[in-house]
Amino acid sequence: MDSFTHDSSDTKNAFLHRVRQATVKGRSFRVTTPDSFPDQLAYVGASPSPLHCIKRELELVGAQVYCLSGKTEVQDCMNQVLEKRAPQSVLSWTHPVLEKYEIRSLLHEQHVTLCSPDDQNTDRRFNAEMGISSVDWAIAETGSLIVCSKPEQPTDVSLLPPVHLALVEETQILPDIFDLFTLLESQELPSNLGFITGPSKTGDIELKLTTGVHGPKELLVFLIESSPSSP
Amino acid sequence: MITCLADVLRPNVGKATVALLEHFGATVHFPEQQTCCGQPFFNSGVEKQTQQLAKHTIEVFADGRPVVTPSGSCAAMIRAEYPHVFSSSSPWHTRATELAGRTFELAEFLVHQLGVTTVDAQYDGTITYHPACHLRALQADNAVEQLLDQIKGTHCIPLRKSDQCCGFGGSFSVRYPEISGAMVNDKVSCIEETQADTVISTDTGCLMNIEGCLHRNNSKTQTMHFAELLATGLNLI
Amino acid sequence: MTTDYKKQPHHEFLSASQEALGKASLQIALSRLTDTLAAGNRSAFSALPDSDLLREKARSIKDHTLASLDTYLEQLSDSVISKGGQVHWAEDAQDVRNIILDIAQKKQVQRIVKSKSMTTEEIHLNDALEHAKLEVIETDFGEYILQLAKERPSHLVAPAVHKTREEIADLLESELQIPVTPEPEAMAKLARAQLRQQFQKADMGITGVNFAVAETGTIVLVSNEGNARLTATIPRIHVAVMGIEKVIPALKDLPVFIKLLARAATGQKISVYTSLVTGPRRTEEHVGPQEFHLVIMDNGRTDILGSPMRESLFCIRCGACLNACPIYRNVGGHAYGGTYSGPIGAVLTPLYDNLEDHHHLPHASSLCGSCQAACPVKIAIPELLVRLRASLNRQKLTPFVERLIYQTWAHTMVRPGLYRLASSFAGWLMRLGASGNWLTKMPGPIKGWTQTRDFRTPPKQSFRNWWKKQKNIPF
Repeated sequence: MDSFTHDSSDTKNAFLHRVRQATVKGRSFRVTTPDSFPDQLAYVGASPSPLHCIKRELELVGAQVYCLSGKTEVQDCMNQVLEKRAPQSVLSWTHPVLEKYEIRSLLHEQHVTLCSPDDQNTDRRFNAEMGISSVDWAIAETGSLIVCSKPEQPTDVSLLPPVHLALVEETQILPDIFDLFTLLESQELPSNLGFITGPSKTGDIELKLTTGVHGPKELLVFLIESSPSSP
Repeated sequence: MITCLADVLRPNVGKATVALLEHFGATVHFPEQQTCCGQPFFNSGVEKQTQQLAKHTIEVFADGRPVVTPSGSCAAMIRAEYPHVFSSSSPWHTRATELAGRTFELAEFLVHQLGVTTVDAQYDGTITYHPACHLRALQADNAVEQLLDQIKGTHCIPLRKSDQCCGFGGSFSVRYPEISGAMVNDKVSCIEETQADTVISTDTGCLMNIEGCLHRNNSKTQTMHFAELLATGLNLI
Repeated sequence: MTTDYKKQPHHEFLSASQEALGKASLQIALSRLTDTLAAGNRSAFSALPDSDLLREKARSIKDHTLASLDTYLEQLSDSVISKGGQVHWAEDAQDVRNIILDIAQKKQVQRIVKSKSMTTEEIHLNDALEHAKLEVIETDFGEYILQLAKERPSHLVAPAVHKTREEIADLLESELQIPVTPEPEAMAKLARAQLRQQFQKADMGITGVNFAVAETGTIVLVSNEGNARLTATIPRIHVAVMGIEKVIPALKDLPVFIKLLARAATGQKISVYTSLVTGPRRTEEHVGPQEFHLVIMDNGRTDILGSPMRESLFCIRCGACLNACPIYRNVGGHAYGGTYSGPIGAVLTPLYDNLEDHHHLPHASSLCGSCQAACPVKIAIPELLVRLRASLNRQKLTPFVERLIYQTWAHTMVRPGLYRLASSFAGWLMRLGASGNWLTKMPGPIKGWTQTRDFRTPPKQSFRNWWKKQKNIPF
């Protein structure tokens, strides 16, 4: 503990004492609200299917979506993206989905410098031209990608580079935000859990929608359909 | 309840209200001791005087009959605010709550209390409708539209930014005449866009404000209270 | 760089609003912004199933939390500490400034990046940090522009709405000495490059807090640009500053607010970035702050909590009431003279600051109720404004003449005989002064009314006289 926490318990106690007094006094000014609420209140879900819904929502928020199925399609598409954008260096996660489609060797073949999760050179991290990740979950209702920070999943992969590419498998998609929070109930939260819904946006100049002022200017999403043959 | 503004400034609204209520089978009483519901005082935070007028109004309408008023804001004052004017331990609080429970805005009373669903009215002209803000507080905003839809011969043109306040706001228009003026100018330009002959509303305050600005702009559009329109359409006045 | 965020000692709402009404570019910007955002709010809520009940639920969560606020704050503090964070308790603005300066000094901090936070704006944090020779950079694009211009934000979610693209281009060029065209794309690109350098160099990131979850010790940051996410990720120290009212009990309460916030603010289903920050980086992690500090601030809020103004603490700072308010739409944010503007600003500024200096604000509303209708937690703003007006009278902060007028008026109104006499006299007087049926000029305090409007004189026969005649009641 640092030295500036000295007297902190006194400060805290005095603070909470004052709050307690006000809290009690404030109870005479409570507002009336319904006694109970339906369980599924404002549950939107995904229609017609999670895959359709997330594609629609992702496109609405300005992401570029590629609907793919099977390893060959994913790899072909990845090669096209790499060829077109020719990034010199890429930040990436280490993640089963990326491994499944052998993204690492693919980058290697294309002579792209890979900046792995444990590379702590900030210049390299700041100057990477593309970030490649998977997701922990994705939410169909809003087209959101959920990324949890972990040693092998650094937050900056989806944050620093001007282009973020995320590989999302159909099985990772949840219908509604409420479903995510139901799952989180039973989990230890990471130090940073991010919802990413489209590329970075601002309307600060005359309300003109502009992307990429801070976060990625482009968000690419590979939506990978589960085929009955793939495990 | 006629409301003080309509009593003095637009007695026709009162006449139309009486005619409509009688036409739809109600017996109308007019307790002559009534003056003002106290809304201007309440809105200005003048607590003592608000209580005086609330007590006066509660006494005047103590006979248990439904109280109907051609003004959304006066109805809202009694229904939404009266119970809060007195502390919950005061006997006046009980009486205020009782009165609040039987106070209605005219259109809402016709539709929801008298069950008027069809009217055989005819009024030839183009109108546009400015919903008074206080209907929001009453959560009764569709009764007027429901009845307006029934009037034959009337072409109702949707008003842009219809739910935006006309800028009256009682003492607000006196305290901040420039802002209030900008608001009513905005309202009037939206009304003029519709090229309607007549703009309809449910509050004398809004109508007074809007007609004043229309007149200043030499506009041909007339103002009419909803009660006047419906009573005219039914040939009652 | 110094930032002049000092508030004027007595802000004249009247003159400031008149100035705003006369500025054409501001009028265009305001109506474009508020029309777009207000329409977004309405369509987003109508598209969400049970949105009305969801708003009631959010309201009930806020009410419930405030009814046991001390317990939830203590729980929040315990949770943050258990996740490796540190918690600081600040009674007022001065405490917050001292706490942050203390951390900065002990941790050899020189450069600070901030993401948009109304709370730190409220306590004029930047002044204090700059005074201590620390370099502070606002990273929200709009706030960055305003920091360069040494101006205050004029809208909760679009702080630089009052500036045109040409003004911004001129400003960037002269402050950064880099030529730029007045295109939003080009200016955003320039800002990105500039701010990236700042992020890389920064030792400390300061953010506000949108929600703080007591159960898990999680603070939630919402932004569209991603600067809040950068501020909470890149520098080695993250300091988050929150008002006591930002706490919510449990993680399951969070989706209720997430679903409401962006819909209310901009009409989006969700903002681009929502970050749930739970403590500093874990030991095995290489990215993320090494230290996490949460500053819990009172700054007058407990006084509000124990008062009839308690409901104002429900506010989640979405800005929906600003966009819906016809007064804000006409005068913009600066006229309000405080950190918070619009209807909720007219409530909060007199409460957080003082009523006397801001006596204009509670009356700066026609009480039309569109703010309450747009509010995601349905705060009864008109009612709160009326309560403040009552406080003005109780503290005798309204002019004596005004109070006298109301007294005389009420005296007349509770005496029906006198009322009849007075109203016929007034009618007679008005008809006397009128040309035709219209008054085009009125005297004294109602003079302003006739600047834009005429006033139709009352007809000779009032309704009650007609009624008496009709029913053959003798006068």
